[in-house]
Order: sequence, then C-alpha cells, then structure tokens
Amino acid sequence: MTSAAPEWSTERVPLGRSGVTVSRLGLGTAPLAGLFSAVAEEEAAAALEAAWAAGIRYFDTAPHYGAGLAERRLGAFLASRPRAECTVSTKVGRLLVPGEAAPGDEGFHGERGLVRVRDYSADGVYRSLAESLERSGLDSFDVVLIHDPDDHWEDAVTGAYPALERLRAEGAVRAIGAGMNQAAMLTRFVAETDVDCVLVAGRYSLLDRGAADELLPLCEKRQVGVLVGGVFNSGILADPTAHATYDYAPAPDDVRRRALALAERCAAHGVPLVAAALRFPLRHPAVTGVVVGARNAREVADNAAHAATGIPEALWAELDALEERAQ
Amino acid sequence: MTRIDAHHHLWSLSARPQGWLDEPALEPIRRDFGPVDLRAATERAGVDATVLVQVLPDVDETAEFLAVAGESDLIAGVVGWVDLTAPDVAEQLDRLRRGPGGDRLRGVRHLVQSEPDPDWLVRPDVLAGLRAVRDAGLVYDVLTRPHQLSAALQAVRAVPDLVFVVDHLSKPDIAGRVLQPWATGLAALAAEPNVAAKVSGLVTEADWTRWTAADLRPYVDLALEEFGPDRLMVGSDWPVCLLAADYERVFATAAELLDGCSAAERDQVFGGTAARVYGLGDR
Repeated sequence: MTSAAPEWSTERVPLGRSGVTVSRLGLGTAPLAGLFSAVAEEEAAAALEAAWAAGIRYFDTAPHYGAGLAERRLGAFLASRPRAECTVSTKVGRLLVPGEAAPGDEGFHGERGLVRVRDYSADGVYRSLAESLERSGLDSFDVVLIHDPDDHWEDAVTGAYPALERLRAEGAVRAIGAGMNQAAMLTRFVAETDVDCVLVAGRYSLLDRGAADELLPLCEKRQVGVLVGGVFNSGILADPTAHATYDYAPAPDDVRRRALALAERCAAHGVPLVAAALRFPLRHPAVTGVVVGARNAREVADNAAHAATGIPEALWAELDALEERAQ
Repeated sequence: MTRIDAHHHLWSLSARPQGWLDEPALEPIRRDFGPVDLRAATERAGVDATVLVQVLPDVDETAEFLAVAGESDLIAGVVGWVDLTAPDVAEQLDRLRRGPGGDRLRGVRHLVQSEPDPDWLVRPDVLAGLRAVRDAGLVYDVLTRPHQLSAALQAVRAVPDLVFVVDHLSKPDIAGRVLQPWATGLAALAAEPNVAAKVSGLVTEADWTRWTAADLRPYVDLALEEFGPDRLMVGSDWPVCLLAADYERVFATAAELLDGCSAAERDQVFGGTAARVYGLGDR
C-alpha cells in the first residue's frame, strides 16, 4: 500500500494560530547562500525560480546564511513575484557588521565584507530586522524567528522575545517563534512564551527523533506550528556515502552505518532514502511543514520529485523498527 | 521620565508614491521606513513614545497612520492632514476619529512651506479650517519658512484659543548662518501664549555633511530664550534627519545643546512639553 498524496508539498496549511499559511514544502535558503561551498548568483536565482515553478510558496532565510547573501538573493527574486502569494520567514540574533570574513567563515562562502555578532537584545532585534528589510528589499517578513539562542536563553526571553511580541502586536510581523538545532530549548519557548511556531532543525529526522519526546506533543497541545528543517541532517540522509556530513560536520562512522541501514531498507521498497527522509517529519500530526534547502535548480527539482514519491506504510514500519533498535 | 520624540514620519513607497523623494539629493532616504525601522531607531536612543506626523496632503495617509498608531505602544499620537480650505473640516476630523486608531489623532498639519501664497495661513477659508481644528480640541502644527512667520503670527492671533506648534523652529537657514529676519519673527510668535515649538529638523537645515552642534547652538539658544523649556519639545524629524545625522546623533546633539538647562528643564524639552501639548497622558 502506498500513502500517495501527490499535492501535499504545495498544499497551504495554517502555521499554528497565527493566521499565516505555509506550503508544506518550504525552501531553505542557507545552501544557496554558499553553505559549505560558494554558489554562483545565477545558480541561486535558478534555484529560486525552480522552487516557485514547483509551487513552493514558503521561503525561510536568515542574516546568518551567507552573512546576508541569502536575504539579498531571496529578496531580489521575490521582487518580481506577487509578495502576497508567498510566506517568508527570517531570523534575529546575529547582527552583521563590517569585517573581513574568510571563505568558509561559520560554514558559509557568502558576503566577504560582513561578520556576525550575536545580539539577542530588543535593540538588536529591531536593528537586525530593519537591516534584513533593507537588504532584501521586502516590505515585511511574515514570520520572524529567534535564531540559535542556545547559549543566550536569558537575553532571548528578556530582550528578543518581548521585542518580537511588540512587533507582532503592532502588526509589523504576523508570526514569531524560535529556530534552533535543539529541541529542549524550543520546548521551553513553547512552554514559557506565546510563540506561534518553532523551526526545529535536525532533531526530527530519520536519524534523530529527539523532538518527538517533548517538543512535538507540547506544540500539538498548544497549537504551535512546527516547521522541520535539516531533514537530511545537513547531508547524510540525502547521500550517506563517504563524504557525508551530519549536523554540519563530517558524519561519525556509527551514524553513517545507521544511515546506510536505512538506505538499504528504502532500496528494498524501491524508495530513495532521500524521499523517505523528506517525507518523514510530516507523519507526525504536530508538524506543519518541512523546510528543505537546495543549491541549484536541479536539487530543487529532485526535492520536488522526491516529495511526490509514494512511501509504502510497510517501509515506515521497518524504518521505525530499525531506529527503535538503534536507540 | 518618558522620553518623547515629538516629530517623525513613516513612509512606504509601494503603499503610496512619494513624489517629493524624486529630488536627487534625497536618494539616501528613498526607501521604505516602517514600524520596524522606527523601533530600531528609537530603542537605542531610549525614546519610549513618539508623535507621527503627516507626510502627504492625503487624508488616507492620516487614516493609515492612525491605524498603525492604534496598534502600537510606541506611537502615542498622530498629527494628520485634512483639507483646511474645505468647508467640511469638522466632518473630515470626525471621520478620522471614528476610524481605527482614531483616538490617537492629536493635531493637524499642512505643508504651508510649499504654498506659493505667503499669506496662505490667513486666508478666510484656512482660518475657518483652523477654528474647526480648535473646536475639535486638536493642536495645529505650523510648518513655515522664515518668510511666512508674519502670516503665522497673524493666524496665531486670529485663533488665540488654538494651540500652535511651530515645526522645526520654522526652518532657519543654518547652513547660511542667517539669523534675521527669522529671529525676530520667531520671537514675535513666542510672545503669544498659544504657541509652542519643536527643536527638530535642524540638522537638515545645516550643512548635511559638515555640521556640528555649534552650528545649531545660536538657533536653539534663541528658542530657549524666547519659548523657555516649557514650550519646547525635541523631535527627530526621522527619517528625513538621516540625510545629515542618524537618530541617536540627533538626540545626543539636542542633549548637548541643552547643557545649560537644569535636569527638570531638560525633562520638559525631552518629553514633558510634548506630553502636555499633545495630551499624551502619563505613559
């Protein structure tokens, strides 16, 4: 039996109770801003064109991605599209200031003249967002997320969060939340603040289901939207071969072995591992959508094709069993 | 003490065309300035309330400003625009007040500086309009240039129970270091009890690239002398000020120019006067 839902990826779904909708498949813009290696301007533009053509209407960006390059590229592309037709999220927590950035600075081959400074104060939030608007040329962002406050919880809840709440109250942004590579602090945000959504990266994937313990049940209960990023854990689930990366670093052997085992099960059902990885988060009722990055038009097209791949229920059962044994 | 920016603007080029920004020198501010930009500017300067002032002669803009202010805990009041020459000023004001955020309406302004008739302010239809503003319990922001100060004085005397607020100290030519006849005209206005003034918009009357606080001092000193701190209020004129100074520098310069005042007097100029004149309450 096949759980076919060919239209799922372009379906518009509500993000929590915010009134904002997203296409279930969103485009993440970190890769097209030179994550791991440089991406040419035309390649990036073609990737955005391809995403739009595939019906993707949710775009996630951040000042962090390429030190402003992602916001600039996304904004330039959206200038020629009906803005009201799509949803755009950006993030706050890193200000970009003039400085000499070496290629590969913080993982990105992006803008060379800017470096990142962490700032989770209210002032930092307002400045960051004003600069994001200017950089992108957009007249607003629909969603704004507090980005990676792992070591800055206190500042984030006393500075950044109240600032975003004020902006939401005055209608300058429509939904607010946090975006992180960990589930625990996102759970705190959901429990202790009035966020509309969270973006959890890498913690709800075929290889790491950590978000299912507390975060996802709590989000479901509080009707907080959940966007899942890092569905390939930064590469390994797209391609578990020798040079795979797991959570932005070379994959450890045991993780690679688990990925290869998952790939083997998928192959037995004629399903590419990447298709299962892309689809996996949406099996959880709390999950609103998945955000998947791409470096070029071909990767976008591949992702869209994988999104349309039917996944047999039997395969899910086998993958679940494999992961249970791995725990 | 609440710190109030008594004069700033917002605009969105896509929402409504800003033809006045076509002038080449204004290129640096030819972009959108919205509530997020305002927050970014005010937060660092420690400003906790603002007065948003009309840009275009367009009631729709005013209605929109009121709606924005109504949702904001930062924008405490709006000085809007209505057609003062029309017979229905009272109705125009009433409509604005019944719309979203209508309770934030605090005053009316017209770009008198752009009127070719130097006596525009004392035209019978305009005076009738000003009386309607008075009857509505609102303030009138008068934006004049030095050569229009005598008409302003006549209007102030003709409607003595309307509070007039002189924007930008009536725009003296600071770059040219010209004091007269501006000084005499402003002093005559200050002699009328129903007039207050804004220490705002001065940096853009100075040399945009080379100005210093010392260039502004004679003008601010005269205003202090004539109006006193109880009738002066600081405004940024942001985003226009960005042509010559960022928001923080405008406020820092104002503080520097008030160095001869007592703490209590500075509090008046930095908030007390604006709160009282515009009825911004105890925020």
